[in-house]
Amino acid sequence: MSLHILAAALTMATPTAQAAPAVEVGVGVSEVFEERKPSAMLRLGAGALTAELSGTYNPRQTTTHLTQVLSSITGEPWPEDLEMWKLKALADLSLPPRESGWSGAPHLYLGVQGRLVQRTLTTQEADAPINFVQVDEPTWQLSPLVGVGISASYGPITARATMHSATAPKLWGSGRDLNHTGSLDLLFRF
Amino acid sequence: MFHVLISLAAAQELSPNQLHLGVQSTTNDPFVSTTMGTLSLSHDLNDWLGLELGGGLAPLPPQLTWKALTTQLTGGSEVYPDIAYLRAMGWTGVRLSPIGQDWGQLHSQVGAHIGLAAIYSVEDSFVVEGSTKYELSPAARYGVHSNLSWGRWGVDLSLTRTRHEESFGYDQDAPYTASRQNLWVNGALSCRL
Repeated sequence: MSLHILAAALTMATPTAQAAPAVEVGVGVSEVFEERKPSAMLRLGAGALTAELSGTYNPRQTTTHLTQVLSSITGEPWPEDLEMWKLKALADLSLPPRESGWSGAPHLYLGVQGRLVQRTLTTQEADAPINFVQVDEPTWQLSPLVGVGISASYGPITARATMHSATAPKLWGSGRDLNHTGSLDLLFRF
Repeated sequence: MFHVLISLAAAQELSPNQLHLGVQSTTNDPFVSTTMGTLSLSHDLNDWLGLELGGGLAPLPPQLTWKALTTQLTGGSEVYPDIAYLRAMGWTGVRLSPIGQDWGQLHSQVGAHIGLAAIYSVEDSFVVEGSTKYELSPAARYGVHSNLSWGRWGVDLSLTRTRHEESFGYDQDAPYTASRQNLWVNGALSCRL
């Protein structure tokens, strides 16, 4: 039903809608698990469809809280993927924003994600700092990606919250797991 | 048929009371991901302000994927830390939806919500054999939402963060409490009653 509604809406472009091609640039904060990383994006869109390229860089090599707990309990090294870079190419389907005044809409994203990850084996002695006992060579992982988002625009300025899900190879065993990224972004349209 | 549906939608007297039936998942927990069925009721006080009451239930415990690796790392001995998984949640709060937009018969509304929640979690202890701990924790809850509606029917999308304190029971002599921040994505069908 939602797709029918969306399809009907997209055929009923109103005179106040942003229909001409527009370029948007933006910055944001991405969160994977409980780590936050800066991101930047470039978008080119017309009407309901927008193409987007975005990049996220992880400036810190941190371990998750759970990693420390598990390592200290088991006394064994604990594997973890440290995500260094993430690049995304997306198609964004949404109701186009108004050229002036307030507007807001949900978004649907489809695309691909590439991420440069470095696997580490972490160990922690009781009451001691974390030691990295093994660091593998960084490798690129390519995954299909789907996502949803909510945006609020005032003229050329847009704030949005998104959630993207991509498959990533499991840390152990075979197969892939869903890997989620939540983001808060601020965009400016030219 | 299309025109009939539009006419029917336009002719309906829309109620301020809305029922939302959906599914929500945690998205930022590396090892204990939870999916809940949700049901909530909202009441619009005016065009942009509403009250919300809802709840969610995870019918099955999540797959604890870290157990397999712990067993592997410790050479087959079952040494697991105790980590609680979320089973149910109730919440209440206000919904601010100041941004509205009409596209023919289609109405889009976007806003933010804030409120309180009660999170019910279960922890099967591997330290104390056969012991299970149940915990009800108060939580703060906030996020953004959108509703795309046609007449009385609509589709909701919301992104919500909850924060609550959780105690880890793996060491009874030194109980460990940590702040748990979950990021939920919720999709729902909505209907004005």
